[in-house]
Amino acid sequence: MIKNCTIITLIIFLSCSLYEDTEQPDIYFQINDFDMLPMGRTISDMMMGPNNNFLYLCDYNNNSMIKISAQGTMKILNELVVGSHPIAMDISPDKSHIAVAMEGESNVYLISLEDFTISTIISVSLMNMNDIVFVNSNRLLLSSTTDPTVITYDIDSDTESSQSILNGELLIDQEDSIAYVASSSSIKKYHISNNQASLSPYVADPFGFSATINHFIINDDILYVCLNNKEDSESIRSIYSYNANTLTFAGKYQVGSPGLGVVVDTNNEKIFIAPQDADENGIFIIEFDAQTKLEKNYYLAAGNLKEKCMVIDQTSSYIYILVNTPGDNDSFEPYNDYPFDLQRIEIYN
Amino acid sequence: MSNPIYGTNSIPNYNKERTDNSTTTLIVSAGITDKISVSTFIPYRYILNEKVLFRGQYHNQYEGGLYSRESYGIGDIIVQMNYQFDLFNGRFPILVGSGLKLANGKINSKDIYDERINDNLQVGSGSIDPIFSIYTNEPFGSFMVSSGLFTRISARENIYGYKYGNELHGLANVDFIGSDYFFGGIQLYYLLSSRDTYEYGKIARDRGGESIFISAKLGIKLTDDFDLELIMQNPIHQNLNESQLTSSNSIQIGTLYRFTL
Repeated sequence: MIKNCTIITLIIFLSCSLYEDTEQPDIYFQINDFDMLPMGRTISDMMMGPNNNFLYLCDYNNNSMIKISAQGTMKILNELVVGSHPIAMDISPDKSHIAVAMEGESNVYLISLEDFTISTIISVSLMNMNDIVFVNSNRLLLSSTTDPTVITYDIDSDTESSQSILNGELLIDQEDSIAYVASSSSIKKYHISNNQASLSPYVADPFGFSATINHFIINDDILYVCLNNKEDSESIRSIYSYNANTLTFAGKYQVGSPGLGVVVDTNNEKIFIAPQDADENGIFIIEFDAQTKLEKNYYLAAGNLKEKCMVIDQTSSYIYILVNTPGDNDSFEPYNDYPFDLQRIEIYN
Repeated sequence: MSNPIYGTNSIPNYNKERTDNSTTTLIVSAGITDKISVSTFIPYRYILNEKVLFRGQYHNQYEGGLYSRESYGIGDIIVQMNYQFDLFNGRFPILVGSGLKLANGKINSKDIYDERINDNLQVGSGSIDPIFSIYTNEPFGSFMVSSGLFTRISARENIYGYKYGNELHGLANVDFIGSDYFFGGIQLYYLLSSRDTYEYGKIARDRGGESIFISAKLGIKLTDDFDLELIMQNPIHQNLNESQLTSSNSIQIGTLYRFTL
């Protein structure tokens, strides 16, 4: 009897190895909980404030600006009703104001960063504005989707000037007074030190199709552009970068999807790209190594992302993204237009 | 199942994925001699998986949205022969079983886009696998104490190259049998499974792990030959490979009819 029991016990003991996983899967990533601020808003632009404490968001559907505390638990600190459909914003070089362009009215709102109130409303001739940047603390550059050219606006003298710059997404190199414009067909470079802008001889190669610009940034003399071809969204599977001086290619970042947003850390070592399409396992912010231009880390997003959806703090500790969870879209709320929540992701070092 | 777990921790179900797994099993057991019996388990399974896709997650439904997959039919039939050993002078009789899990269950259910759905959502496994079991019980007054082990060893991959991991099931029961009208008890159930593999041995993510469940059982003896029982099962420990959907509780309804040929 003891012999039989011993044999059965031995068989059971030896067979335990059949249930042990001695190998791990090739691709390994861990899922943790999400750090979320539920908002339920449709956001058109987002920026980190000068001292890393606050995030500023354009709430497109609610015609307002939102100030969010980025330290500790994220929370909405203040909301300021502005004009019809804020679409883009920029912080002044002296860090005193935010200029907000409206899509639904021909006004620009200057908001004081000190007390988060409207300090000035500027009337301009443009309609359907799409972008705004500070050339310097007193001069704005404004673009529209329907007017033929970009304008500059001098805040001190209240004067508007039409420029020979085609509309598009705007960037400014304030040090060298250079404007970069990503249009539907190419990237162009303009000298804007004088009252009238002049086109630089350098023009980036045409994209070869009519592109929508999802995000356009400059960092350390490198331009990064996220493009989408609305006719064929599968034709663009990469994010491109250009040398700001010559507008030649500086890098191509394959993400297998059109990009919606791109940010670079303060040391210019890490490039974070928000893709439009999900992977089979979800949507991941992809971190690229700036030197090798290869993928390095992945950060799981809580939902679908959005153009201009991502910012990074000045200490390169966190990235902030706007996410839309598709399951929430079956709401019975009237005019529910894919509301977004804010997700904070700690950067892996 | 709608509660995802990563290792031992709960994680957000960001695809809002849910799987409803229903199985009705017909168990036929017949004694050939005092010591030898044959059992057959014939399951009918219905599996429904629903989730909300993100944009680009599935090429047939690029914009995302609700995506459902379902499969149904007779699952893999188990045929098992049991032999009873009396090692302890008639106490704790040990029933040792050996048999086969057949490959009759369908493994080619498709979604609405006519693409075959995952192996894990098919009603069959597609491979004939050996199974072994060992079981014992002993009455103590009005209580019956029983325990057993059941294992399924995956012999080979199916025609699509998918091979399920091995499974070890262990259970221990204490049942109250002192009433002519009802019975009840508690069960501790242990499940250990290894990872599945794809073709050429590629390791599957999100499969395999260790779980312990506790169950409460309540039954009614409707007639001398007919029992009806309800089992509520809850997990008390789960340590799973990567992220897997689990269920916070499950309900089993069972009937037992004894007849003599």
